[in-house]
Amino acid sequence: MERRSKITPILLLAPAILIFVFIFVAPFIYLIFQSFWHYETSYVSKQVFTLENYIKLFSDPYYWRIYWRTFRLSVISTLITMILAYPISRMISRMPPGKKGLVTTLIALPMIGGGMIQAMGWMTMMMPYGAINGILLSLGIIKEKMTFLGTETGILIGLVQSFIPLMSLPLIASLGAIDPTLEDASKSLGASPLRTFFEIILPLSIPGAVSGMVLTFMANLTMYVTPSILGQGKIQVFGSFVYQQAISVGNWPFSSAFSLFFLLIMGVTAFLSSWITKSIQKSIYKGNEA
Amino acid sequence: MKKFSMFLLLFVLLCVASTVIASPAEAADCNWDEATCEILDGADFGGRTMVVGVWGGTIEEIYRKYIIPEIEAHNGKVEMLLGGTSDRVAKVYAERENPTMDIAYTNMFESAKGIKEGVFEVPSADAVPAYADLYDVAKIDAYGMSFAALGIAYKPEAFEGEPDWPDLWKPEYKGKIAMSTFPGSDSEGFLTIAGYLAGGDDTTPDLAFPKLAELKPIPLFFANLDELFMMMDKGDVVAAAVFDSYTRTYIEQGANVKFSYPKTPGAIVTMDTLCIVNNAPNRDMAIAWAQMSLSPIVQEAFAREIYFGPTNSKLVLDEEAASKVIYGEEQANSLIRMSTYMTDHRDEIVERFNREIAED
Repeated sequence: MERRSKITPILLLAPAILIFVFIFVAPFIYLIFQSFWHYETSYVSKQVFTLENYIKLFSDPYYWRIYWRTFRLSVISTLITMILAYPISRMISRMPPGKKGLVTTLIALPMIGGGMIQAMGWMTMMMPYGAINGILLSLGIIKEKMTFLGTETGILIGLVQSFIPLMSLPLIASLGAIDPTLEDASKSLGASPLRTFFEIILPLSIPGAVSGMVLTFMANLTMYVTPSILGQGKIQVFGSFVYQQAISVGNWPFSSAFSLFFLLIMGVTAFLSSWITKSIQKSIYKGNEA
Repeated sequence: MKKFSMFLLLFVLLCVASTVIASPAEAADCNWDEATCEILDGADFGGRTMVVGVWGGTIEEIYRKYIIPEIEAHNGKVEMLLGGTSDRVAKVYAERENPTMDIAYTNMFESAKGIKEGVFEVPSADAVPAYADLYDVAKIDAYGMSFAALGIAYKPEAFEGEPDWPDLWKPEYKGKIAMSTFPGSDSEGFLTIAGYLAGGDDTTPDLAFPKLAELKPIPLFFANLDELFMMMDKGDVVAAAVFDSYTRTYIEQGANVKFSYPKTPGAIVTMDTLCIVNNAPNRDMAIAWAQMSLSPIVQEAFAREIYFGPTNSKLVLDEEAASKVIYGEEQANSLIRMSTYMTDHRDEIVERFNREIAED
C-alpha cells in the first residue's frame, strides 16, 4: 500500500517529465553540442569539435556591445516599467472586487494581442509624421520632428508599454494582500501617508515587486519583436541578432554559442537579482524591527 | 424471369452509358493545358495534406483561387506556411532528414544552393512537364516562377527626369536614400550596384561597402513598401532600390511614386523559384502543384495581378499587360544577373552590413 503511494506521484508526473525532457532538455543539449560545431555555409555545419564560435564571440567587441545594449535597455526598461506600474497597481489593488477584476483584465488585455500588434501600432505612431510627433509639434513642445524609429528611445517606449501588464499583475496581487488595517493603524499612530507608504506598504509589497521585476527583466532580455520592428534593423539586441544569425544567415553553430553564453549571463543575473532582493528585504525588515 | 433479365440489361446499359457520358465531361471540365490535365486526370490524393511554404498576400490569394480548389477536387488538402524565404529555407534545412514541407518558394540563389546541397530536387521536365516550356534563363538551377527587376522607386518632385543609379549618390540626396532590411534580395541587389559603381561587381564587397556607406545616414530600413512610400510622400525619403513588380502595384493604385529602370550599370533581374523538397512526403501532390503553378493560367494571373514577369514561354500577353512586366527571355537576359556570391558568403556580408551600414 505504502509502495503504491510512492509510485503514484511518479506515474502522475511522468507525462510532464517526458514532455519537459523532449521539448526542453533534449533541444538544449543539442544546442550545447551545436555550439561546438564548424559552420560551413548557410544552414550547413560540420559536426567536428571546434572552439571557433566561442573564440569569435569573446574576441570581437561587437558582440559584447550587443550583450551590453540588451542588458542596458532591459535594466532601464524594467525600472521605468516598475515606476509606472506601481501607482497603477496600488490604485487597482484598492478597488472593490468587481471593478478590480474588470480593470485588471483591461490592463492585461494588450498582452492577448501579442507583441507584434503592439509594436506595429507604435511604429505607426512613431513615424516622422505619426501621432507622437504630430501631437508634440501641435502643442509646441518640440520645434522639429523627433526620430523615434531606429533609436533606443523608440525601443524603450515600446518595451515599457509591452511589459506594464507583466509588472502590474504580481504587484496588484501583492498590494491587494496587504491588510488595510495596518495602514489605518499606522495613520492612527500619527504616521504621515509618506511614512506609511515607505514603512508599511513598500516593504510588504516587495515580494510582488521582485516577481514583477524579474519577470519583466527576463522578458526584456529576450525580446525580439519590439526591437526588430521599432529598431528597424539599426539597433541589434540579443533577440534580433540571434534571429538574424539563425534564420537569415543560417549560422547555427555561432547562434547557438551566442545564445548559450547569453543564457549563462541571464542565469547569473537572475541569481544576483534574487540575492540582492533578499538582502534588501532583510534589511528593511530588520530596520522596521529596530 | 424474362422481365428480370430485361431490367438487368437495362440497368447494365444505364451504368455503361453514365460512365461513357461522365468521362468526356470530366475531360471537358479540365481548363488547364494538356500536360496539366494529364497529371490531374484520375488523380486521387487520398485525403492527404500537402504543405506549401510561400509568401503571403496576393501570391497566396492567387494560389487559393487557382490551384487549391483543384487539389481539393482531387481529394487533397493544402496547408500554406506563409513567411519569408529565410524562414522557409531554414525549416527545410532543419528538417532535411525528415521533411514536412512539399513545396518551398525561394529566390533563385537559395534554390541553386539547395539543389546543390540536396535539399531540393533537381528540376526536370520528366517530373514537371511545364519545365520544358520555361525560358532557358528560368531553367538555371530552378523551376523559375517569375521575373522582376530591381530599379529605383522615386519621388517624382525630387528628380528631373528618371534617375539613374549614380544620381542617388549626388550630395543633394544624402540622407534621403532608403534601403530595405538586410539581408534580402532588394538590399543585396543595391549592394551589388554600389559594387559596380565603385568599379567592381557583386563579388567585390571591399569596394561595395565603402561606396554604400557614402549614402549614410540611411533614413529608413524598410520591411514593407507602405513605410517607404509614406516617408517618400512626406519627403523624408526621395528614392530607394526596389523591385518593379511590387512598386507597380502601388503606382496602379495612384501612389505618388514613379519607377525607373536605371542604365548605369543597369537594372538587376531576380527570379522567384519553386522548389520541390527532396523526399517530399507528398511528392505526387507537389508535382501537380508545380505543374499548375508554372502553367500559363497561373503565370498570367501573376502578371496581371501583381506584375510578375512570366517565365513560361507559352504565355502570350497583350501589349498593355506585357508593358508592365519583365516579358520574354530577351528582356530578362538584358538585365544584370547576380552570381551566388552573396548567398555563398552571407555570414561575412551580413556581419559587414551590420557594422558598416546599419549602425549610424
